Amino acid sequence: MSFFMEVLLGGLLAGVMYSLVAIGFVLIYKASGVFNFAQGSMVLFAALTFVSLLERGLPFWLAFVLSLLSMLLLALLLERLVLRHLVNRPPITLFMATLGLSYVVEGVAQALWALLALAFGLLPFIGNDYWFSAILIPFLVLSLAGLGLNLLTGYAGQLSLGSAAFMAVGAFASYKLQFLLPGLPLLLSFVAGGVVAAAVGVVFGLPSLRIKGFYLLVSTLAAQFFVEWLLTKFAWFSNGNESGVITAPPLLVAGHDFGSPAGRYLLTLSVVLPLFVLAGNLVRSSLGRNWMAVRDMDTAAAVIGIPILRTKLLAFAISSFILGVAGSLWAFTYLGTVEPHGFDLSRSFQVLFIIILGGMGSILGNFLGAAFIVLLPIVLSILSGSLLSGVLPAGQLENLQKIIFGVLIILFLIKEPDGLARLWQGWRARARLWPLRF
Amino acid sequence: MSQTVAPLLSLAHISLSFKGVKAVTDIGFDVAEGEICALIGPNGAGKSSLLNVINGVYQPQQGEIRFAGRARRAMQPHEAAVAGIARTFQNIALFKGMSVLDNILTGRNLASRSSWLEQAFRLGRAEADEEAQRAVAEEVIAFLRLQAWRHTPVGQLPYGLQKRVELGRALAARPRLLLLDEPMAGMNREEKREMSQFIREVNQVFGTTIVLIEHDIGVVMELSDHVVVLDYGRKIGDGEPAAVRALPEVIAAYLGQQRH
Repeated sequence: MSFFMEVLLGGLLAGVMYSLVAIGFVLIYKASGVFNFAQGSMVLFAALTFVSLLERGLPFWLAFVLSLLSMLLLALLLERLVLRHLVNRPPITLFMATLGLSYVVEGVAQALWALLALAFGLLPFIGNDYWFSAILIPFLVLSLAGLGLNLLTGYAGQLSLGSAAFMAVGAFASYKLQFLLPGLPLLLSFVAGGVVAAAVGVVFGLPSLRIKGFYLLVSTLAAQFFVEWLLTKFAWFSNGNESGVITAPPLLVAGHDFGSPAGRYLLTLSVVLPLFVLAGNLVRSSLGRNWMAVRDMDTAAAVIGIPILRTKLLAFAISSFILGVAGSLWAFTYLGTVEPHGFDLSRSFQVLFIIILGGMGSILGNFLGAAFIVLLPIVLSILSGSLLSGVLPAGQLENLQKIIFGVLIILFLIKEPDGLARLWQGWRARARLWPLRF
Repeated sequence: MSQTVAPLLSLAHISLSFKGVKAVTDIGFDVAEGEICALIGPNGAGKSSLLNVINGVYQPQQGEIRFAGRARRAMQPHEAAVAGIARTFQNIALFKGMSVLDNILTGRNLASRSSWLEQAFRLGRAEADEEAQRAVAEEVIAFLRLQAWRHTPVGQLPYGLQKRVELGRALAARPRLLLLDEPMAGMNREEKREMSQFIREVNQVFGTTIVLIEHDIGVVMELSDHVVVLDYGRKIGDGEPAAVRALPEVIAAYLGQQRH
């Protein structure tokens, strides 16, 4: 009897699943006339995603919802990349296409976690703590800071040396809000810190309505010194710490502790990537074009009806928001403990170098510039450790770095004002034609 | 043009001076809906200043501007754009770092209805809005035969094409009144012919009223319905091309005959 029940239940369960798969199959067939041979592979894809997520220690329901979302994403991608191009083709073509798809999906399903590895999946497991703490996390945070400044300077054409000030405002505001509003979710406090930074950014952006170029630079410099002074002078901002030091609270998101180096990396990544996507959308939208118009010629922009004031202030607000979030991440997920002097003028310069090297008015450039600025000191210290050991006193290494940075910045400004992003595009264009030259 | 219909643009007693130096003195003229009006006159006659007054780049000390039934002391550039006035500049004022398509799209900025938050998240009206603006921009590109340079940064285009892109950016706004400041300056005969053709088509196809400044008298006589002649900031002629050409003051000013 118990055997019978077992078989009955097992059979019913299998039947339910088959019918679900079949419903999907019919839905596609009825709606589009496509006989979807990739259906089976998609089931496999969902199953593997779900199991992989469970294995990574995610709760059942979270993994379930994420799997559903990933299927949705997969379906959208398939439509965009494949099916859309096959509209009105003969059924046999569609059939063969789904057959091809089934291979791809199956392959991807099995390789998925290896593919996503670079970002989300594998790195937390293969990467060691040094990589996370000293390279990947600062790389991501600095890319984000570069993005913030790039929107303002590269896209909207407003020079600023106050990047670090807005980062500081974000960091201290997130920190303070955690105390003022106990129970405030961590991610929300990042957003709130960004909003406060945006407000401060607008205030210091107001002079941009009357002054341009180098004079504006001086105004943002004022922001830099004022914020640093304010945060050091008044212990209220750091909850009574005499030297203004703040220490990150436990990094809990939805009850999950992201305190380990891998966890901090994942947390940083999942804040940075969405912001990059949003910024990417913005610069391709009407606001992004208005920014570039104001940058290239503001009188002409006014004549075609672009509201200059609003456009500039939005650039300051959005740029400062992103810098503020970057500041929070810098304090919370990268350093853990930070004082106002951690956001001094040299940090502002660092962010500026990222966009000069990476490329003004480029989204990709922020990653390239940040990677460069994070990796260069490490590469140099390794090189000097192996090649120049004994020849070069340890203290000189820092000087050497400064020299190399300076020379590179000048070289880039002369030879490639559009930065690494442009070089990258050039290489890509050439690689496509290789071995031909034209 | 019929006199019973109120003119689209009407300037009355406009005077403009810069720190006491008079650029334009007590000028008034009407531009009827649908016509091509040419402003002519020697260098320094105040033609560009007058265009700048019409679309609010300069604010005159005296006078009144009536556009589409609304009288104003002076325009603001943004106000003029919203009212439906678009223009091109004598020394091309394009956005050099942007592509041809993006430049023309900036001309659609007033038509954009989605907020920046919608644009960032690609939600709500953002997608449909962007599609609509791009459709208009593509129409303009096709009309001006700029397809081949759609993605070229305008800074890399030759002069004649830049002039055409600037016309495109102004057209993208679907203006009621189009101000063209020397649209054919520095062009060879072939380019001039092409540009005249575009201007005439804009006027006929879209019914856009046009005020233009031009030095080539041949082009002016052929293209315009109405000519206003300025000299030393004053109006010395106003009427149909043939009638204006016959005025002794105009001949004097133009052919540099001696004045007494």
